[in-house]
Amino acid sequence: MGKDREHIDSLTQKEYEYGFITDIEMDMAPKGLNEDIIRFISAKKDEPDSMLRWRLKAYRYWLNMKEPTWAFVTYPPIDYQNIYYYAAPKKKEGPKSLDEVDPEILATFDKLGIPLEEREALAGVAVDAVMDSVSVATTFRKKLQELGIIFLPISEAIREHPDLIKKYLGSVVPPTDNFFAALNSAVFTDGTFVYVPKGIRCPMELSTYFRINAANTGQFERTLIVADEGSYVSYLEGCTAPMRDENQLHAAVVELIALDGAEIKYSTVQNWYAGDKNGKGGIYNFVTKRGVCHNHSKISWAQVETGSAITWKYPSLILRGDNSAGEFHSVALTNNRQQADTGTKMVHLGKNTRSTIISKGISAGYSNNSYRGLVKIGPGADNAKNYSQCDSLLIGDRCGAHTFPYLEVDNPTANVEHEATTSKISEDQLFYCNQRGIGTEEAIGVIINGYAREVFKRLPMEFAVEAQKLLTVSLEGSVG
Amino acid sequence: MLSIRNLKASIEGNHILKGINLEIHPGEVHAIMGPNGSGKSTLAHILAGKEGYIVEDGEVIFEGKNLLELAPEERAREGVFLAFQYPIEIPGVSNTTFLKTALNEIRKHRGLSELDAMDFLTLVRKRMKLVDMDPSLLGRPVNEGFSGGEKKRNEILQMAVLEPRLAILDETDSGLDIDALKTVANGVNSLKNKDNATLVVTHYQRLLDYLVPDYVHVLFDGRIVESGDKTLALELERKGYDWIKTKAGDSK
Amino acid sequence: MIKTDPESAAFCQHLHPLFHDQSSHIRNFRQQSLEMLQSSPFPALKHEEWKYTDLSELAKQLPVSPVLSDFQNLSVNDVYPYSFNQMKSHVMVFVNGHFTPQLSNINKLGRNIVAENLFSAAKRNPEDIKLYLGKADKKGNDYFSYLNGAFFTDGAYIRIPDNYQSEIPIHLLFLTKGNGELRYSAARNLIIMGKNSSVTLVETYGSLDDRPVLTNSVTEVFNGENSLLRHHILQLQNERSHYFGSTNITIPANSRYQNTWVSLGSKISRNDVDAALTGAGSYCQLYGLYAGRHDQLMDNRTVISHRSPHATSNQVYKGILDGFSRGIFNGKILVEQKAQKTEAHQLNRSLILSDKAHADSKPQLKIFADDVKCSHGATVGQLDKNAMFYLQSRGVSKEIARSMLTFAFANDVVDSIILGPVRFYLYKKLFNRFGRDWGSEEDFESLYKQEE
Ligand SMILES: Nc1ncnc2c1ncn2[C@@H]1O[C@H](COP(=O)(O)OP(=O)(O)OP(=O)(O)O)[C@@H](O)[C@H]1O
Ligand SMILES: [Mg+2]
Repeated sequence: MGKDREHIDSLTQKEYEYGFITDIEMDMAPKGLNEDIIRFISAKKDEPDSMLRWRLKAYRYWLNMKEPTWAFVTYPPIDYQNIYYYAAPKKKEGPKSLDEVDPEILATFDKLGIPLEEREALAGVAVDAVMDSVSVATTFRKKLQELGIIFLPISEAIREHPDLIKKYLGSVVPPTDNFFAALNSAVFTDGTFVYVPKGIRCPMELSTYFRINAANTGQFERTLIVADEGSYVSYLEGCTAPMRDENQLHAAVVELIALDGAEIKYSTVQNWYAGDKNGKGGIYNFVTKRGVCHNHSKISWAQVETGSAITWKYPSLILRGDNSAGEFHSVALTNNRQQADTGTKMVHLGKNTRSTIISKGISAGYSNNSYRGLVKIGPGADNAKNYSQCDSLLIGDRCGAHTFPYLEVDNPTANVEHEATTSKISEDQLFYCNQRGIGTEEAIGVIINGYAREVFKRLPMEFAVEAQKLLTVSLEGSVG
Repeated sequence: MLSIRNLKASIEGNHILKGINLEIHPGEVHAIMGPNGSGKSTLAHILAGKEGYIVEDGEVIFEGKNLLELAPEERAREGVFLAFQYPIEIPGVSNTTFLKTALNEIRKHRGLSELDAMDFLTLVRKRMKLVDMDPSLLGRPVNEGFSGGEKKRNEILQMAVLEPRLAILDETDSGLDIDALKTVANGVNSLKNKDNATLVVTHYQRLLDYLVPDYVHVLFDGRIVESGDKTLALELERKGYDWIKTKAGDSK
Repeated sequence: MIKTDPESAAFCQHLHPLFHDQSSHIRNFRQQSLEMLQSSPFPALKHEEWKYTDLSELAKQLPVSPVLSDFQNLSVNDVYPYSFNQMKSHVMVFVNGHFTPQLSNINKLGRNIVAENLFSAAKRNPEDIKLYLGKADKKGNDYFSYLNGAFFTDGAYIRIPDNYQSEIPIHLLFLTKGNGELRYSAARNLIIMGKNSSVTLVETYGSLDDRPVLTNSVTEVFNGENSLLRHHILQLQNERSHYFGSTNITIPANSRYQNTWVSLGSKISRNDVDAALTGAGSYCQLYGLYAGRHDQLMDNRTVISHRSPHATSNQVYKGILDGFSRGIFNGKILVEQKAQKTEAHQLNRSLILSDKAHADSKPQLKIFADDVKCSHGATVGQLDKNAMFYLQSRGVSKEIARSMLTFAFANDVVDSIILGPVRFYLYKKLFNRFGRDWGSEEDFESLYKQEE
């Protein structure tokens, strides 16, 4: 197996493919967090007074909260006063078209292969690209406007659609929800707002690429998607970030609301910088994602998580309405010193609610990968059904794979089923491939992709391809 | 006794039975043969009332009653018995309690008195000899850990105790060694009388040597495409199913 | 300085060891336990390991150590109900944690076996006490474990020699007798197995009256190499009592340990099983059944630690919850980095029979070795549809089929008990709870007697 060891080494030494730094002038608030900074952010964003008060309330609440410690991750204490909470590319005026966008930013996106240009746009992707907290370009906005679909940076939405914001922002993840959600509510600088009106089927995948770019910049995204009655929308979130030595904090909040009969698909490919092979650097990804389903509605989360030094993330659903359905499909891969504690919560409140959880964990190197999930069936959730399957694959003998599901059932007509397995890549499968002439390295790629297929199937095409590539690249040769 | 008319059925959107017609009279033995996946077990399950199948057309009349309207246990009490191709294991339910409960439910339905434990055990022991079953299996949970052959014998034991009017044997011969095959066939034969009937599903002529059918039907792609007497089974044994397939293809 | 938790200290203010300890090992052990106890917080819902078990009502009560009069005037008739129809066995009876030789029967044990109360053993075998007491009980930070360590009032000491095989089981019978107060009953047991031996041990927890008692036992088991220990534990206390018991097992190379836990009694019960597989070829099988009704709460926590390569473990825990009851399963499989070639499986299944009952399940895998096969499964919900159909296809009505399958669901666990009389005793209890729809008790008895 000496050869395989070499493969592992070559993999672990592989430089982060997307690691480069864009040099643009920054417009920054000083380091640290206090009420003045929050006022500064709110003023920069030209926000109404009510928004500022909302932020300050969250901030004061946050001051009395403790950072959660229950996740199976360890990291040195974060100095919240040593973080920049606001950084924006300097701009004369907001760019109206691609031509006005800083060429260097465009070049960066080019390297990342972000489909920002017309031909990609024609391929059906409307991109609201976010670089360091401020959106720099939006395409297709007009076409969406014709259908009444609102697809805006959230800061603009706060100015332009105060009623919708007031009604829905914080309605799923209240500012007091948890430590990181409170922090986000106080300081979020940008993000995305989507509103799909009644009965409208959004004709294209909506997509945002996030990118963290400035040293020591916290990124506090806020996403809010409202699908009105009978509407449909598919939203893609993709992330890559340049290499940095210091850990960077990312504490996003995503809120989804599917009103009666609506359907939301939310897909994520997360490939932020994971730190070097010794665990130096990398993103801390502490995200709160949650959706609410009303009657006959459906929300599906699909995620492929390969990046970040630490991931703390549980895209959850509250199945409040009768006959509503929720899905969670996840592939989480950790390598080197990465730590991931991720999973989902499915809270069944309505009758005949259904949920499915498929989680595939892959651990390699010295990493630790945990699934943590909750399935809760409330007393009123007659005939609720849940099926969960959480598989873990271990590659090498220095990593860990952990499964912590919680099942809480308060209704006799419910049917809840959880299955989990942990194993290494099957030697029989490898041998079978070898015997048919497929080399070990390739065979691992084949097997891993087969293992994750159920999740890939849920991703939109272009994402699935990227995700598949990511897995293979991250794991080439990792067999012990 | 049983009359199936133009029965069409599907499961999970797949059309499996595409118009079955079959008449069975008291005292008769019918055999159904046919390639794997042709719908034999599906037919048997539908007759017994397993859920999940959608009957799209046709009817099944059993002793003047619309069988398809009855719950599975009502069909059993009316006298329909299915020996399963793959009998399920029920951990924790002992064979005796299971069988005694079933028998008394059926007896109640027929207006007979319930048997107490002693009488019941006497009856079961007698019937066990018929199928040459190891008495120790009686105390064990239903089919749990039974070998393939033991499961099949257990099915026939149940049949012997419950005395159905129509017994449907779904590949009861598969998994049996030659001696067991004879024993089981003899068991079935000794239960035969002018008032009951048997429908055997099998792939092999061998069983039919012992359990001689009055009619043989060939099920192919959800339809009975050929019927005949016992010589049809011999012909199938010799020639395989290809000629049937060709014939069925021609007639389409 | 030890930081004392006020609630903890208050809870044990009326507890004391019954007698002055002659053995310095026991004295030291008590002292250590007491110190740990004082710094441990009283269990509360906010503690992860007590997430679903609310002890706030219990915390308001003050358990009181037993007094000598508890043990007087008891006759063999009092313990007859727990004799499993006078099953042939060696019996040690404890009342409120105190050994009562006049009710016990251990005279006919083989020559090399030692079965005596812990205090006598401490006199005769101080080295064993030093070597084993507290050594399998590795659950740091567990309140009730420390409480027992500080205030136990005796227990059983069983030492099985090498190469000993016996068909006759050893029965440890722990009975409680209440008075006006919340009586405290705490035994501490040591089971030490030799090599190449095979024994069956039954632990029964029962009540002599319907008064509330707080039972708090700890059993430490040291299995021997190449030995087999079958360990059946029955919790049958009255429904006003509380039970907090833990069983801690070390399983060395090539030894097999099988535990069957059946819980039918107590208002609140907590069953802790902590097994460590420490040698290659070791095997651990845990079965559990908890059947709750009324307002019973049944909490089960298991930890299986794979510390050695080539070991196997298997767990099946089943809950049936009726009335307002709550059943909890919290099971962890831990596979250490060196424990390659581990095979570990865990299954928890619960049935909820009423709309006011609850089931919580927390199966966990914590795995640090890669060449392993581990799985867990948990289901809450209905009976097997195919089994329902099979029964119906034989003429059995839906209601009866349901009742049969519920009874069967429970039987499955009882079937793992190797002793016919114990099995029969439990079948009957379960039949009376779940099976009444489909026959009389007499019928049931005659059928099952036939089978035994
Ligand atoms: N639940 C199901 N979903 C989809 N298709 C099914 C299902 N159950 C059965 N089928 C299909 O129905 C067809 C008929 O199956 P059936 O079991 O009746 O065949 P059979 O004639 O008994 O075959 P065999 O000789 O192998 O026992 C097969 O193609 C089978 O795959
Ligand atoms: Mg078949």
